[in-house]
Amino acid sequence: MKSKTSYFNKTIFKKNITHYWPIWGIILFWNLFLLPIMIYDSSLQYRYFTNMTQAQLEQQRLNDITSLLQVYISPGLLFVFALAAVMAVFSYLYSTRTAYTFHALPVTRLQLFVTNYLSGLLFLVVPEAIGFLAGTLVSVVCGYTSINYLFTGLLFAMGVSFFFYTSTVFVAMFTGQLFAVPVLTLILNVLFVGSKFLGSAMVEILSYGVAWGFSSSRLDILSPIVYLIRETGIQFEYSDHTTVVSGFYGAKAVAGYAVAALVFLAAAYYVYKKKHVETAGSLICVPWISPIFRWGAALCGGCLFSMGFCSILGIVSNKTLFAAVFVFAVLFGAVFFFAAQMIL
Amino acid sequence: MVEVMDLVKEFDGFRALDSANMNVKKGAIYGLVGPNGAGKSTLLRHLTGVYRPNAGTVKIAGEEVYENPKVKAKFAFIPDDIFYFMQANTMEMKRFYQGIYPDFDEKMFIRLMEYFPTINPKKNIRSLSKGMQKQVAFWLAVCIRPELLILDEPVDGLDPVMRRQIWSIVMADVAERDTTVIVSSHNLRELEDVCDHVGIMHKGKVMIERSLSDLQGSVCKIQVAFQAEMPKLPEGFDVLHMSNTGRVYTLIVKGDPAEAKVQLEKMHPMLIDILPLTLEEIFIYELGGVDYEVKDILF
Repeated sequence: MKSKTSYFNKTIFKKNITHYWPIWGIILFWNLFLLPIMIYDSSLQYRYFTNMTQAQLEQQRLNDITSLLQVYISPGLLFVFALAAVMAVFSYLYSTRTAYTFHALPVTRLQLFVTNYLSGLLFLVVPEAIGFLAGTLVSVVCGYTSINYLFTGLLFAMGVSFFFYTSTVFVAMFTGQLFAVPVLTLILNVLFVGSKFLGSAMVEILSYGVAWGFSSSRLDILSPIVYLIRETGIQFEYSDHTTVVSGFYGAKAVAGYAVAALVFLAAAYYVYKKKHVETAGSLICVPWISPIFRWGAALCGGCLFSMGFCSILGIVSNKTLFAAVFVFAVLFGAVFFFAAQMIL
Repeated sequence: MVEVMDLVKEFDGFRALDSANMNVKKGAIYGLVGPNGAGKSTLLRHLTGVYRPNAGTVKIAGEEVYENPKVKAKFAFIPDDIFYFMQANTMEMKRFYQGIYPDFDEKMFIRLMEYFPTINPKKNIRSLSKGMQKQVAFWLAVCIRPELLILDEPVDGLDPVMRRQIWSIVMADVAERDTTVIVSSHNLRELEDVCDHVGIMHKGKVMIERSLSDLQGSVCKIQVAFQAEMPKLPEGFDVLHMSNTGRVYTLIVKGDPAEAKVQLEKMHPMLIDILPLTLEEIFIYELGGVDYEVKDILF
């Protein structure tokens, strides 16, 4: 009889659900509070509004739902929930004791990865789905008709959650320290835009006559959280002294990031498969990343602190500023280089 | 049962295992000993499929261990630093292992409860003492019904009564089910009582691997006294260590004890006595031969 390869382990899944219930519990509570409870709460106020026409009432109710959906699809909050889920389900990778225990069990790395990945993802999407279903039910009972907005909001939230969760899992495979996960994930999420800002500022200081060149561009997709905060949401229009909802924007961006998440997923599993368990506890688990981290910290830290320091000192003269920025950048760069070396 | 061939493992350029070889027969109780940093724990982690070697193979029951759940289900590993889930009690850990290991024996779990009377199975394991946590680990490990038991400092932290209890459970399992046991420990006096095979590791290699009786038969302690000074010892007399108290010389000699005695008797000593060596002494004197010895401290 051919043996069946299993990619999923029920025992580990059950362990994740029972042990990390505060995380999915908080996310579930938040989604239930935000959609069904707040929709119901909003509906109560209209009992006393007898002088509104049906159309005005419909519009007001739509505004209520979409205001709540703005928060529901907020990339910042979804990012935080994703981080919490990743840190929980993959926490066993960050201590030698737990890493050795789990990797000595009769399960493959594929089973461990798939089971833990799915556990964490369900922590996010199931509460979102429950919030949506409960919100829909309450909306119908309270006479709201804009159920399609709720559904679109759900797709947005799930797409953004899927991306943030999967990309954080990818980052999590490169480090052996639990608290490095949120730090590195946040840095990578703002790295492109942050570097652009720093670069523009340094160029303006160091190159006489060159104007400030920092502006938004399409390449800002390389800083997902910044891009999503800026480019996704619900469009409101103002007409006849009233606010009218015109629809969601950024759907293509969300879809694009969701597709990118699939690439991150495959890459994350590949890194996990190759990872040495003995790197648990190390800041960076992949050797060739260490010099990039070291020099990156030196460059970014040097530039940032140099500009900040000069700003605190109040140096305005061009010649002095040039010299000061240059000298402090080298000094702070060296400090950051050795600090990075110490923590690696 | 266990076959390790030319195992190499490096950590950041440091060679922790340097073409280590190990063979453990089924049903053997194999003591893995060595100085600190010899590579014992590293070797055990390869046996449990935790580490991926740089070179070489690790096989249990003829199959490679790494990423092989079928093989991993055949052994239980008790490390020196045991992990339990936060807020977990013994019952919860039992349910977890029951779900993970296909051969987990629930009846055995209930039967063994009487051997661990001080442990409340519904109490948080992390609130138990270190010794009691270790008892829980043994309790669960035996219930997995492993073909191979891998123990790293197994009785460290246990009181003498519990040490005997644990060893008796292990030995009973060995006798009943022909379980193979690999034990790594610095407590050589205890290992001597339970092991039938010994592997001595040093600097990433298994230097000596023999049955305990062969090992004890290949090195002996001879006390000899001469009328005058100690005469020149015969050629080929492999002396690992020599000390004296007055005219009584104590020699640690490698080779057949009977033959050594015959050679010494030709030198007409006043007295000659062959004394058995403990495993601890064998360990000290064998490693003294490779430059790992007790050094006299002079203040």
